[in-house]
Amino acid sequence: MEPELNLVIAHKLEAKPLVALLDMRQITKQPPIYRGGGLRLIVSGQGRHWAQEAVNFLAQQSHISSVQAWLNIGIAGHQTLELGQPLLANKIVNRSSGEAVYPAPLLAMKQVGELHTVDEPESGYPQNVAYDMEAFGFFKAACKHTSLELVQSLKIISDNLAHGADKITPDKVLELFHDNTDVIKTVVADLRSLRGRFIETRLDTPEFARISALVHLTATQRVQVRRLCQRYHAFGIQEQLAELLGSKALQAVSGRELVRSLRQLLLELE
Amino acid sequence: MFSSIYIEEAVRDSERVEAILRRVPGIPQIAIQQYGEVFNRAGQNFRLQKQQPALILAHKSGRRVLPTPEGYGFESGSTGKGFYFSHMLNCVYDCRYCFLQGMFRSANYVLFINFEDFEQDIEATIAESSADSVFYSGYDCDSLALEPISAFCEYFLPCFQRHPEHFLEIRTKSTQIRFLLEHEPLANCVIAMSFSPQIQSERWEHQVPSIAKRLEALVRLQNAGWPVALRFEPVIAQTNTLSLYKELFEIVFAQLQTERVHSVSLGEFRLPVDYYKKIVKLYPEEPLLARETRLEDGMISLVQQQGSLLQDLETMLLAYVAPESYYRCA
Repeated sequence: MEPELNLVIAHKLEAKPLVALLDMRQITKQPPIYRGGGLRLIVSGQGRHWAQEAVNFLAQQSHISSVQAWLNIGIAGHQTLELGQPLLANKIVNRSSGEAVYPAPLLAMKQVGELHTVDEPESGYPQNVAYDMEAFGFFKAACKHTSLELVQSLKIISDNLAHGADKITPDKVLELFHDNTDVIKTVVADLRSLRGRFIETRLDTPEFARISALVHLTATQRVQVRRLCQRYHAFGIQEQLAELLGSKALQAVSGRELVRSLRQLLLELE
Repeated sequence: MFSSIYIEEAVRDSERVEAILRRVPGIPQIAIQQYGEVFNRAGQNFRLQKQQPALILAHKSGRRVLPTPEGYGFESGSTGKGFYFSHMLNCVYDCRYCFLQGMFRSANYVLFINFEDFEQDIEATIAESSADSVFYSGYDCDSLALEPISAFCEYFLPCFQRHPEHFLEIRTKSTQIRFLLEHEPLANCVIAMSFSPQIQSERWEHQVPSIAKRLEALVRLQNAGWPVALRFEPVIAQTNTLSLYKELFEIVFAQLQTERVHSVSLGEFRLPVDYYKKIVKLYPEEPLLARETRLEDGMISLVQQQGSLLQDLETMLLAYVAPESYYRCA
């Protein structure tokens, strides 16, 4: 079964509390991938290049028609925000090129802000924004595989001007994630819900699935039949469609005849 | 009201942007270079965004005043020409038949804040036009719905006050009329309200004020001296269309001073085929979009719409209004 949501995490240390929180189990060691409850998590390694590679790797493992949401979670530095503060990125800048991308502001989370993806750890915090090393690569890659509303990046502030990155310890990372359990769960749930609304418009009707299995259709006929089945459902007359399909020996019907019959009945019923 | 506000860096320090931001405090602001990087990017979903649209404050470059398509408005048959300008892209309402769903990739609202440039272009167009030209706002948006934030009327009415020989049509479904009621009425600024029959409005015009409220707003405007117009668009055929419109016309014309209505129009439900296909993908479960259609000259219309429906409606309408104040929108 295809996952609903992919989590791309830079470090094992960050993945560990998420795996426990979201009740996942490891399914491959290299790359480290975990699954459970409709979720899939990959440990990408540090840097935007590896985040991008991880997204592409997971996408290749998925069926081409599968619609998945994507979430990058990790720690980040910030000039002024307090340690432990969560931040959902609403703008992600690749500092080396200046290019910016904009995750859609559709989740309910109030703590939002700008995130700069840097190539080397940032210890000077020159601007009043968050700093990480993966989000830009993650976002650019994930948007190639789904609608951009379904791609988000959540950061937890782990260092700032007053508490530099050199003070981050493994225990501190676990504590930061632990303290943000509710936020993480909410973002995961909201993103899954958004994906649910997205796929409602993409789902094939059961009748189309049945026809596809029984009747050879050209690419054009597939489009026609898919839409005809949707139209029966839109009018709430899918029972008549089921009747029509039940009355035919589907294997013996050509695609062209089927399209004609479906269209004819629809015209009569509309 | 808005999930976020994107602001082009070039307009960030303008007084108008400052004023708009003061009217909508507490909303996250995001700096952008150019509105297209948010509004026009590929891989967006209009339907998802429509649940929580963002506002984009931007500068409009290029041509700002354009000629209307042939037969668009009430200038047809007069010596004047029709023009439209869009200070805003997208509408705060969510009408299922609306072409904007198929025209734009994003459901976010773009508000162009360089009103002065629009005004300059309108002035230039007026200078080159004969009298009786009509300028339509509300082609790509609802002009009044965002008035408390945009102050669009507040800015543009004085421009047309200086040019009484030319018309401004503000097309709307909104009841945001406070500013208009506070302003001296202008004989050349027409508030054109769109109406569909009650049952169709309830089914397809999501978040739009009720017919009763729209009509109440129009009556108040008319009593205040503003020219008001009626746009019965889009006409969408169904089994009892004539009786639905009969009821609508009775309600509307019972409340307005009919002889003072500036103009009345009918227009059928038609969409460019590319827009139609995009909207179907967004709302495959919508019965309106599941109906049998006909393609002609790149435009989709409902098969059931064919025949004498519009003529029959015209006949009904002309029992209320003089023929010279009626036109059919092409």
